[in-house]
Amino acid sequence: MRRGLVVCAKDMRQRIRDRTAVTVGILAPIVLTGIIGVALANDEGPSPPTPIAWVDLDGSALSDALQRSLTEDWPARRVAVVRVASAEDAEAAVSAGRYAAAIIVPKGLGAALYNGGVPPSLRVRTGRTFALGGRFANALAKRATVIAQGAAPRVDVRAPQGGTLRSIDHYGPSLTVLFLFFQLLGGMRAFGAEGATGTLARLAATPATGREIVGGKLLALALLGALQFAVLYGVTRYAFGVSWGPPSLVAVLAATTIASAIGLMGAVIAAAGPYRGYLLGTLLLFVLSLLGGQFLPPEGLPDVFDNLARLTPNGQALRGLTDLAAAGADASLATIAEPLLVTAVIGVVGILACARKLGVAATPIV
Amino acid sequence: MLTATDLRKRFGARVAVDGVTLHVAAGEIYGLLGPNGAGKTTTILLVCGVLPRDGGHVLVDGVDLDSGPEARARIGLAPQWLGLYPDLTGRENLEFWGRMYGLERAALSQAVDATLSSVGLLDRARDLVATYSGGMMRRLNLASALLHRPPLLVLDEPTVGVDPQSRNAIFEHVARLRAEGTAILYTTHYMEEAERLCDRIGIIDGGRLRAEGTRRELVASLGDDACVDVGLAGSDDALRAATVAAAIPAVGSAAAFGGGIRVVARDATILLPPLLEALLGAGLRPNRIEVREPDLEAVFLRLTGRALRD
Repeated sequence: MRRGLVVCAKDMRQRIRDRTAVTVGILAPIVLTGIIGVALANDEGPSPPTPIAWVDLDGSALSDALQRSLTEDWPARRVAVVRVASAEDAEAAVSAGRYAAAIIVPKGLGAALYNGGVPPSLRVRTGRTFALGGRFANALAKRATVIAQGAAPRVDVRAPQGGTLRSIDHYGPSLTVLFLFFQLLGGMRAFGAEGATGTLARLAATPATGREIVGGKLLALALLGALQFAVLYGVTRYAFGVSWGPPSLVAVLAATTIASAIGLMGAVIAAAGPYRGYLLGTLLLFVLSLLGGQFLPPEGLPDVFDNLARLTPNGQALRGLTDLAAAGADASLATIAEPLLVTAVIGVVGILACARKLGVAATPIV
Repeated sequence: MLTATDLRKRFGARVAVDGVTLHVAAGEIYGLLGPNGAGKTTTILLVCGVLPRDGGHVLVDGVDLDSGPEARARIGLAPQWLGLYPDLTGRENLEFWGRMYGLERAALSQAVDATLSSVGLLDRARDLVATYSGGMMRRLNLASALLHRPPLLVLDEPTVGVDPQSRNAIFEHVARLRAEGTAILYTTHYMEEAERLCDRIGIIDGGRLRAEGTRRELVASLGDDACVDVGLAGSDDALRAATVAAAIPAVGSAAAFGGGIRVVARDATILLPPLLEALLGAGLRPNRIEVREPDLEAVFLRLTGRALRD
């Protein structure tokens, strides 16, 4: 164990001295978060309120209830539902960019539901701003569809304890998670490169065991990841006012996220080698970031994106962090149960898979 | 001090080390001499416990290497590749390696200072290794193996790519360590190094130890064999010339060497006429003939049929 700590201390000293690592791991996410914070300084949700065209061809009590539920159930989202007389006018307006989306309630919807018949479909037309302002339109349409399948429910409106989340409350944790993965990819590449340069074989000639060597290196990466996370947490929280949720729960989720980053990036490096693995890992991270909602929140997108985000460790981590922020004082381990489980499993499996391969003393001659 | 018995190692279908047995006594330098790819580095990695053995046994200072990782504390390895961290200073590198061998605090500090001084790097101790010359890196590499004063020192081609001044400094240091009682296993493909430094030499090729002994014993094994170097003109094919020479019954072995060929034969006087006739008959143009005292190069050539250096 002592020799493992010696290896850990040496690795940490090398990484902290690496100006590129400090730039990528800490300065870049702080600068980017700051830019986003300035750009979206007055944002309390989608700003200005997302305009949704509502075309009620049914004219029933049910369609009225649907419209009310869309505005009353989503006060934090600040959508503005605008009645439009005809479907053609609404669709034209969407095409022209005046509305983010149009929801067209078909004639006979209410009667079909009340009489047990087959209800006609709710039509949704999305506009070119769908990805941004219109990202909530799909969610609204989903809600309308759910409500339409039964009698209009009583609506209990409650604002989240953590308050309304702003865009920076998404991008602060998002960039923190993204750059954490990049930094740990770089760390695992350095680990793999030691096999190519021969210092790993030199380590194997010392009285240290394989476990001490690999354990020391992974511990260094974990501690550096925790340090990076703590710095970004502190700066984004106190300098930019990002909402993070209860610190103790954030720390628990940060720990499993770091483990998942080490495991996943380590597995890529172990499989493809330090140099090719770094290129593949970078590409993989971009794909995972797109799927995980780092650049674009999955809510409001088609369901498949939400499901895909839940398959990624970075997506789960981000989901957990934003859930913690939204839950505020009501947050508990149960709030982040799924993200904890997924990131922990990916971390353990990945670390076990890569540790053995990277721990083999690969000498440059063989 | 070191007893390595029947060492074996395969990489897939390739046999890298095939039954190597050697002993190194305290205060002795044992040279493992062979060309690139002969199995020298693989052998020492087996001896140091870096590579798992497919067969064989290693005892260091009476301790079985398989008894546990602490057995490796008796070995100091200076590998052919540089086991140094370029983004750390010379002192930081040595402090790290010293701690890995159990040195701490005052003992570590004293060992680092003494070792840096002995290899002539004390004034550069606080500079990053990335700023060192090749010779300085080799000296630091050697220093990292000496910190914990191991009874067995393993040096794998320690003078590769090194300037003459640094090479001499390394030779002197190695000789001092021998005088202090350290057992030294030294690999090289330079005959001159082996002849200058080593008390006993093992000639290795194709993963097998072909012969071992003192220089005198190895050369004496050639008996009355003579060594003849033949220079060839211009672009004449030395490999073809070696093939032509090897076909002559009086020739023991022949190989391309230094732009010409080197031939080992029983009697130089009866060798020369048929040799010249064969070479001229093959359209080759010999322009120089030198009869030499047999050396380790000739021993290697006789044992393996090829030159120590291609």
